[in-house]
Amino acid sequence: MGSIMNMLGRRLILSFAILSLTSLIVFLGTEVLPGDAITATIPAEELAFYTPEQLADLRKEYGLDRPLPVRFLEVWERLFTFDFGTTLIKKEPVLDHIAHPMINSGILAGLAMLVMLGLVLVLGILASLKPGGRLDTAISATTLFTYSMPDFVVGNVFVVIFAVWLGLTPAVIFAPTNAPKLTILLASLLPVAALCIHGAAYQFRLLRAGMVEALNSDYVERARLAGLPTWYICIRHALPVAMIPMLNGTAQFVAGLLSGSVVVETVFKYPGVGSELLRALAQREIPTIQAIAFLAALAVVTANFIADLAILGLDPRVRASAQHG
Amino acid sequence: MERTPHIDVRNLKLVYKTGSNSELTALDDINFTLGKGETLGIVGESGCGKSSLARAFLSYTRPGARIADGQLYVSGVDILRLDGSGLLKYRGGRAALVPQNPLSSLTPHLTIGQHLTELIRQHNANGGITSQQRALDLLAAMELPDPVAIYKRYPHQLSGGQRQRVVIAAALVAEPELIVLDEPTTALDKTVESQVLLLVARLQKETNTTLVYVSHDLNVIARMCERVLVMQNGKVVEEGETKSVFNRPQTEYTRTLIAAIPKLQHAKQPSPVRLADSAPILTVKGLDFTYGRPKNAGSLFNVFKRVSPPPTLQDISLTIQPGSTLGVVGESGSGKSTLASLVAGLVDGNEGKITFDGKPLSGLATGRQRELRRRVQMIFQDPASSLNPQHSVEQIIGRPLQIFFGMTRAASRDRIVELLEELDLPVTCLGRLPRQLSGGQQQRVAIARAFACKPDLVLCDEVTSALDVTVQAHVLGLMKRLQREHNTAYLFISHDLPVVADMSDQILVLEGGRIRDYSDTGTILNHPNSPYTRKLLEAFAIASGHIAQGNLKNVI
Repeated sequence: MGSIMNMLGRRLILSFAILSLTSLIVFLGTEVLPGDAITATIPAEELAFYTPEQLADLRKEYGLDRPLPVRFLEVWERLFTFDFGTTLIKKEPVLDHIAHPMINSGILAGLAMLVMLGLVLVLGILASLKPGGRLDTAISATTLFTYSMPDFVVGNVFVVIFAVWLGLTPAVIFAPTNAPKLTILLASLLPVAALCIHGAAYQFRLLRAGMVEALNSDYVERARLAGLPTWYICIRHALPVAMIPMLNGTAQFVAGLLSGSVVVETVFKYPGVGSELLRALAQREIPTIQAIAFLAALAVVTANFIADLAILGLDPRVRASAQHG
Repeated sequence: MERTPHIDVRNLKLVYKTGSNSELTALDDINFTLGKGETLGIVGESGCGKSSLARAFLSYTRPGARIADGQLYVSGVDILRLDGSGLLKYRGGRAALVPQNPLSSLTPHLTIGQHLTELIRQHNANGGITSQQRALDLLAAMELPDPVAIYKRYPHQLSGGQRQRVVIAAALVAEPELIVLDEPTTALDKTVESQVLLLVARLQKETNTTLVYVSHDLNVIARMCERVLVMQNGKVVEEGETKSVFNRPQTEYTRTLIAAIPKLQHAKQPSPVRLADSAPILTVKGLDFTYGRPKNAGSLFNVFKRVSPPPTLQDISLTIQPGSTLGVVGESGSGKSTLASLVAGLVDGNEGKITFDGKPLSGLATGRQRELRRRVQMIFQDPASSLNPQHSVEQIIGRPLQIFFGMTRAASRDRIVELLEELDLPVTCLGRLPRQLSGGQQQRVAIARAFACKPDLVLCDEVTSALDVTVQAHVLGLMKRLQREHNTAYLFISHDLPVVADMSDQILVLEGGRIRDYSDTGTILNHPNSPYTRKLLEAFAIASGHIAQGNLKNVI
């Protein structure tokens, strides 16, 4: 057990390093590249009225005249203590700005994950029972089709079908970012479906392949020959092994959700962090951009960590190899 | 017994679907009966249909196969017509199968306890005690040490013999009336096989279970079974009492099978001529080797690493004379393959303790001169994975000719044909890919590739272990002829003592990375030094004694 803790410890150190690297890249991208925070924040036409001395004073005021490593360490420390500071111009806490959009997006992504996993498990098991059979062919062909469709196409098609033709849902969501979460939950149904369709297709292919392989294995044959029912063999003997490749894919799906949700949120006017990020980018709201980028990276790293934990839980052989170093 | 057969197979026919409307007959017109408590052996070479027949006893066909015709009665019920819950009750309840490979046949993420208790619950077989207690009793009945510890372990944490006992325990959960064993000891070491066979024989006698034992190993069948069924290409070619079939085989095929078995008493006489005092081609002196030595112990990610693993090889010294054969015997994990890998330069770390033709061999093959790489060749156990699946036979054998002798494609062709002829391979093989060849042909291509280099030393790592006995006999014969004609030395590694004895001038016995015995073949066979070698000899002597001597009953 000790070595498993060691392995997890190593993973944590690695995650920490990845997050540090992310914050460095975000820092370099937002504060160092040509056009520093001051010139980026002040509109060009106003910038013409500032004298070089005034700009220098401003830089001093915001601490932008200090050496880069010092400023980076400061940003790094703020991010890692979840102190995201205040917005540049209005001096409001960044957290107030992004808290609700973050939660809304969290609802969207979490719901998308759950629906996706549920869908994938059911479809994956059904398709693998008779590989090459009619059901498998139908599901596989459908998922191949949806896999090849980009998020924004799916989103727009959904809007046309469900909102314009059928009138079941409004075409865009008018709920404000701080609306009651139940409203948000209801409003997120179409975006969730749009997000899932793409991700579920890929996960499905991974799970189906894993299940087909597991169901062809010697241990499944032995279980069949020992008189265990098929449904039991599928769930207890085959599924845990088949889920392992899919879980690695699921961690990737989380990363995909982040970029996918920016698109989908725009299509549906969903009050999430994607639209907040676009706004912050347009206005050069550097602390906000840094906060969102950091939290997004944190979500991806956490998802990978959870996937690793799940794999450790599913496969004792991985636990054993962790013990051998 | 004959009046009410326990098992009655009639006109059984099984076909495999090979295309949209083509089928291949895997079992054809199988008929036989078996009385309660009798033991039947089914023998034949790979592809003869014996595994399909074994599964038919459980009313099971592999994907793509179906029973085309016939009935299979067990206690008067045609089990091929069972379905639904009747089938689930029959499988594992009244009949059970012990599969070939116990590691791949146990679910990796379930503990041994979970494997057993799920079957006990499924078949309501706890007999008034808790499922857990019943599972522990079964493990104890398998003569497993410390059942409580085994119960909690995962399959990969057990040894091969322990896993096989667990799989047998799982088959016995519901006390079935018929047990089918499909090559249950093929994956085991000989001494372990011996113990498992004794266990199976004892359990069979105690419970008067009908036993069907499928194996390619005639020795095992001779030891375990009263009756035997010889199969070839899906048909029964001979059937009867084991003693009479093996002592007075009626068909040519059975005679070939029996003749091909390597026997200890056939061991070749030590040839002092070849052991004469010419300079050795290979010398190993005081070689120690440990896997995964902390090479980069200082790096960040190794801070948590524990102590290094135990040594794989300890204090190994040996010499091989030009044109002679040194056999290396040992069970799995004894370090024999590691020894070959070190000489071949596949694994680094010989530390200058291996000298070839008087010159030290550098650790990795990539660091050796081309000429040295040419002179030391290796043949592996599994030709299917050691031959490039994308290359034709011509490309495979031609490659060393082009690399080491600078031949053009056209020039190498004659030499390739010559090599094919030396190995009894038809010239039509030239354009074929490895998967289009049989296992024996693949291995002969691998040998041709090694001999294309005109080597002085060939390292042979379990080269015939994956082959049927008749094919093995053929390949070994060819290897002996090639050795005589080219004066090539062999380092011949195998777990199979009779094969090694048949091939070698000297034998080195390895156990746990240490040399237990090292002498000429005759001395090893007749006056072994270490108790370990004696134990090994006994395991093989028991196995190979019967067919020759016909004393089946006394052993069990």
